[in-house]
Amino acid sequence: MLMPKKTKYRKQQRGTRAGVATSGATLSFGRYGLKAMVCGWLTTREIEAARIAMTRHIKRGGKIWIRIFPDKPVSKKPAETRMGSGKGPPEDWVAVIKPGRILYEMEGVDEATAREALRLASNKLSLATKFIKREGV
Amino acid sequence: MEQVGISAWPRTELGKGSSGRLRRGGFVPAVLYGPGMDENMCLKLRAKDVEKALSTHSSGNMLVNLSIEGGQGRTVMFKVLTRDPVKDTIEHIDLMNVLMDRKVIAEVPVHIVGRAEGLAHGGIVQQEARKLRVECLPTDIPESIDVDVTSLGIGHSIHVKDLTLPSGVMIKEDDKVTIVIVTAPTAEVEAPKPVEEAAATEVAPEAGAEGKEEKGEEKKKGEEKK
Repeated sequence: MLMPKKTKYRKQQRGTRAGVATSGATLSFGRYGLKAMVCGWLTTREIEAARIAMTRHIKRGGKIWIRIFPDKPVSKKPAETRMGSGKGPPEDWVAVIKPGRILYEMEGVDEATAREALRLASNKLSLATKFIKREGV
Repeated sequence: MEQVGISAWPRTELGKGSSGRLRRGGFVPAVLYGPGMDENMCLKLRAKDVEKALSTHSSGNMLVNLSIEGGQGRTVMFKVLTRDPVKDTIEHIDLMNVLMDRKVIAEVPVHIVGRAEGLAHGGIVQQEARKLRVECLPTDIPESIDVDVTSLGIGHSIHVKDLTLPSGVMIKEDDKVTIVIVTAPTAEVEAPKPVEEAAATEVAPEAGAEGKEEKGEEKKKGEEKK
């Protein structure tokens, strides 16, 4: 699964997700893509599950690009622990998603296959998404 | 070269607030600049007119006869179109004034023609360059650059130097830029499981260790209170 090889600091604050995606909002590599319509966090497991769902559907044809990377650590306190005593240990990695962000791109397959593969992928994600395709090609 | 006519009105109120009001009223804020102009002009265009003009020409490289209210008509081109990342509506347009005897630089879409030979062996046609910058007179801008991929096998590619362009059109890209390549298919790799286990084992000792530490601290605190 995707995660940073090393980080400068082990834990981060939650941060903000206000606004829309100013970068990574247009198709850069493939002809088809999946665009986030709302903000949220995508965990490394979700990203991997969606990738597997897509890859299995398109089988050996086509190529996939993952346009997001989970570089934010999320900590969690262990079960049945009293409050206080500091922040919990890092539990997961997430990617911060803003509306308009391209999550995946696809190339080398026909539109019907790409549409179905990205629909299967979107079912694995906890965000509302939209299928998009490059215009004028 | 296709030409369309669009009406424009000068814009006196500038800034975020007035631009938002314009967009809600069905207009698009725009700015006009370029050769043959002393200073920039702030304009507003009807969003419907712009969308209609763009729908007729996929590349967006069209000459627009702009009739400005209270001013002289100008021939312009769409230079930059800013769209909303979620709603996909046009937010702002940069218009460039065009002099018909002066060369312009335009981005022309690349169209792939034919079925590559490598596809029969399971290859994937991967288009690396979607648009190429060309320099020519405004009336000579090609609608698209067609690239024939019929002879391409797996591992073969077409570069900018291999292209043949119409006379009067000069390409403004490096000769080595790859336009299209036929790559070998990649099989699905079932690698994530071991990594998942490794990650889980990596986090678990830390969680356990810290949990123990916390419990120890709590015990100590409890004893102190007693």
